[in-house]
Amino acid sequence: MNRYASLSLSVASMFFMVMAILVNSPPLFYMVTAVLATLAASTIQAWFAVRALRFERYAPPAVQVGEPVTVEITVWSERRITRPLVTIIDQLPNTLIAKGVLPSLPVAPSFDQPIQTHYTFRPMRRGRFRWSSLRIRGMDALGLINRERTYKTDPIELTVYPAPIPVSVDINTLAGWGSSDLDSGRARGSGLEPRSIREYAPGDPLRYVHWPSSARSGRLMVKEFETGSGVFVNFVIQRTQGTEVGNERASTLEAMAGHSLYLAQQYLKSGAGVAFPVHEDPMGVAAHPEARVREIRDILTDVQADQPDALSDELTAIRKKLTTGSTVVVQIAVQDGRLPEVIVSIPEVHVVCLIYDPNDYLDARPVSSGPPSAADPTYLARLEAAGAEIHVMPKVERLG
Amino acid sequence: MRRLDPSLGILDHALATLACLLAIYSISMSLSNLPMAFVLTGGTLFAATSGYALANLVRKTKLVNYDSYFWAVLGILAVGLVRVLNGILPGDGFPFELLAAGALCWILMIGNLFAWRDQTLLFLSLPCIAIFGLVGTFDTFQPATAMFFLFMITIAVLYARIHHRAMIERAVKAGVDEPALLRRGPWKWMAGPEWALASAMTIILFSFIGAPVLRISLKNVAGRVQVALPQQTSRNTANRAGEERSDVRVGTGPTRLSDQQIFKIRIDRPRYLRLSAFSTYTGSGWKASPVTLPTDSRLFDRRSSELQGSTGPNGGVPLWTRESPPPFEPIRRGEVIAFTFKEASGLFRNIATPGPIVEVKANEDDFSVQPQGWITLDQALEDDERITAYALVPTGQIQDKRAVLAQEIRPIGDLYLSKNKVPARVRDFAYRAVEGADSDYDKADAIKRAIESQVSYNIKAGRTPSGEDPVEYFLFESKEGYCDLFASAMAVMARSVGLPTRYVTGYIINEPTRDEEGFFTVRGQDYHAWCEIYFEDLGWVPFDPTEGAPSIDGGRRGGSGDGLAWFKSDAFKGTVAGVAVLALLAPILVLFRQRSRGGSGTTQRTASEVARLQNAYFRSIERFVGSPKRFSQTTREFVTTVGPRLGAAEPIAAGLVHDFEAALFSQQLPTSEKLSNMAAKVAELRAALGRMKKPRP
Repeated sequence: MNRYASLSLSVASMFFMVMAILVNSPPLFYMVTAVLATLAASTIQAWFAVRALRFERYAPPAVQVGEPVTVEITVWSERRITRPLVTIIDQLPNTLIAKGVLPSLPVAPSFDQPIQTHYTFRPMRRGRFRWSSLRIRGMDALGLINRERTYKTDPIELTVYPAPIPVSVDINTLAGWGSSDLDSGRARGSGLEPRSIREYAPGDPLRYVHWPSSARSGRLMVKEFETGSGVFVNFVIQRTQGTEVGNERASTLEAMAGHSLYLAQQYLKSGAGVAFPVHEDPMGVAAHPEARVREIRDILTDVQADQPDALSDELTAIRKKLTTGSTVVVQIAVQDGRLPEVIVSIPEVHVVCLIYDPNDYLDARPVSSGPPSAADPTYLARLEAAGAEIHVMPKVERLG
Repeated sequence: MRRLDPSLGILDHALATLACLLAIYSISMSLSNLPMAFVLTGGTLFAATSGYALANLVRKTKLVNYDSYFWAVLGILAVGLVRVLNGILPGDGFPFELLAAGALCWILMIGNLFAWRDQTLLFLSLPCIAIFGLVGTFDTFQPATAMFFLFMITIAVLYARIHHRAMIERAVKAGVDEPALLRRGPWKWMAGPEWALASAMTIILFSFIGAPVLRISLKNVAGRVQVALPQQTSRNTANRAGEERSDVRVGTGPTRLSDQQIFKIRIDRPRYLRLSAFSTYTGSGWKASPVTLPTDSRLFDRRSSELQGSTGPNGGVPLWTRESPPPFEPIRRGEVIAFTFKEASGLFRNIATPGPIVEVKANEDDFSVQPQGWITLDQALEDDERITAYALVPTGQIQDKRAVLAQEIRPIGDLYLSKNKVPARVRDFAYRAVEGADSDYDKADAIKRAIESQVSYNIKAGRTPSGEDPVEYFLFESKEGYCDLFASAMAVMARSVGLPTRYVTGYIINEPTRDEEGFFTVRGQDYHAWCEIYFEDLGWVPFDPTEGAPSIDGGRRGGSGDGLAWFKSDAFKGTVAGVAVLALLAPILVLFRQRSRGGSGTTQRTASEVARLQNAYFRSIERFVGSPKRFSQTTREFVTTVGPRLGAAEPIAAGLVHDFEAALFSQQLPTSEKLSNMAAKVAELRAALGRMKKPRP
């Protein structure tokens, strides 16, 4: 509305000026001078408002996807002048998808003391982000004229880790040893003795619910199993260029990262080994579960769908890193034609395919020219025929 | 001002209403329609009060968001029905040509009813600006400029408050729970509404100087277009000729007449052109008294009954003839002259005439004849339209004529001879003036000369003080005035010695230059008042004592009042007064600000000096090392970080760290000696760094 008021005053001043000249009317000359002077004074005030400022900015170094980030900005006037309020608009990198950006508190910079303001947003995508400029919007005291100026500041870095996305998927981690479901005790509880009982967490299979404890405590309790030290799970994420499908809310790659982090945490908790052999040497990973989770989080933060190689090529490349009897969890969204062949070629490991249907992540209805979905029944049949254990993953509606 | 309540409340509604009232009043008074001004401003006040009550009712409901829709719908309706609405306004409302202004006034009135939110309050100012544009274009209401300035101050405060509220809303969105506390923290140094008010006042002061400069610089290109004037202002009561109860005050103070063209007239020579005549002196002005006469009096005849249905000698509509002159001014010795109007202002309806009109060359349905022979056109003249009339004017010598009313007028002779309300001092002055005069003409001429030698003409003369008789004050106290007082003095003095007189307003032709078709141009500044004395056989004869009176510089006769020396102009006087007020206010403001921030003036000055020195100190080092000090760094940390790069200047810099810490954080303020010492050290540091080569960043 203020913009329209300013526009109207500008138009009025032009009209007054033209009419004043045409009819040589003294009152109109006074009026036009007053209106023009008002606009000029407002412009000068807004211009001064955004000049001669210095800034410092602080943001937490790392957060999870969806966690609120509060950026604190300190502003200091380099001149001893009284200014109208200014608004600071941080120039976040384009790759950083931010939601729920709360406006920063308008401030009046002071010469004598630093004035602090802050704003909050929620990053919706993993990654490491760095930015170094911010925009200042100043208005005059009447709110008629708007002026902006961009300032360079010390660079700021923000690491956005993936958030673990709870998922309920029953992976047979012992199948790599050649034991059947019956032998491995899947029907009896994965063939392993319960180690302890804990509270139910989203994603826990319902069959692990310990009903007597649940009945006693009034809360849903599940059994934790001691896994043998030989259980080892490798995660391989499809990151071929063009295979990420999705939008700002969620994408196949973000879902893969969130799921793999959650599953890795679960396996680590139960004593299993977890590796991302494409990104690290499984032999050199941290032993302590918490340190290991941090390592995995770092790996997943940097995973992007920017590789020229196909998933099957990467799987072939890491074959030597895979220990016999271990499980390889392959997360795939777009069909990789050679993958069934590669799976057949590595009988020493149990391959589990977590399938993400790209159609779940498209804004519009799927089109025939889109990437071929790995959830296509024919393709699934090929993977199954190659010996892979198949799980079609549920759609992730929203991250964070 | 710093503690202005930022919430939308009665102050905001009052400001918006005041802005609307100023605009509405200005346009109404531009049309010289005081009753309409009362009706419209009264209606707007009522609407604003109701609107405020409604706003409080709906404030917490969803309905509040629909105020602009209500306004838009009813506003459009008002525009559609503007002619109907105009009909209910007194004094014929807005002229047809200005119905748009009427529509804007109705829109404002409705707007006041539905201004429930900031946005709609803000929007109210837009029609106001348009209205002021029209008022300024017509230039018929002298206080319009002052009204506009007051309007600007009002909307500046309103805009600032609305903007401030928008900022508070933003702060709340940013998570601030108690906006009131912002003034103590991040908004402590804000230029808020008080700055807006100060800016607006400064701008107005600036406009006083800037506008005349602008106008003078554009003098050569300005004034190419003539704009149709609205009805004349109160000083131009002439346009209400024919209204039985019209009256006029005299000695009302400085005036400024417009130089807008009123009409063009082709006539044999420049003459006095009557618009209205007043018979009764009231002690403060003149009144056209109602006449009580037997109903069969011929004074009521508007035209000769014998001529009805016939065609005049010039092919027009005949009203009277030279042989059968009008009974209200029976000129026995006269001639009929023709005069033609063209390019008349769209709202100029009453024909200014040099004498009683005897024939009008127009369709009989296009005009009406008022009592006493005034002619009113039913419609304004078109751009290319002309109208010709014929008037009976006296001829022959006046010197040997007696100043007595004709037989026909004698029943109302008392009106023109009444000495009621004429001060004794004025009467004595008249008696002394006519001593030795034999004829009535000599008496009239002697009075005229006495006035001319007694007083000066000044269009900027001050108003008559309350309680004083304007003529007496004019003749013996102020001894300056303009046409109204000259004409009044002449009329009452002539009456005092038994001459029948009346006070007449109209136009004189001050610029006797004809265009290629022989037309004179008559402008607003040609508006005039004079005295007329009735002479037997000749009718009413003008006597104008302004003719021979000396003029005050810049206040000459026929001037618009713009020719004053610059140092005597209102603009200059206003500027000087404004600067003087600011000069008085400035120390008070500074004192107030210092007190409101706490600490004495000495403390403030010392702290300010320390801050200045520290800033210079940081600047010198930052410029030398090429990297700024971080906010989070103390002075000591900063110098420790950059110290190795300062080379030989490091000891000076380190020494100053201690000085600054002591000055900023100890309980004792640094003495002036200490401050001088620090300033010297800072200068020494700057010089030392200046001699050194800058390190690589």
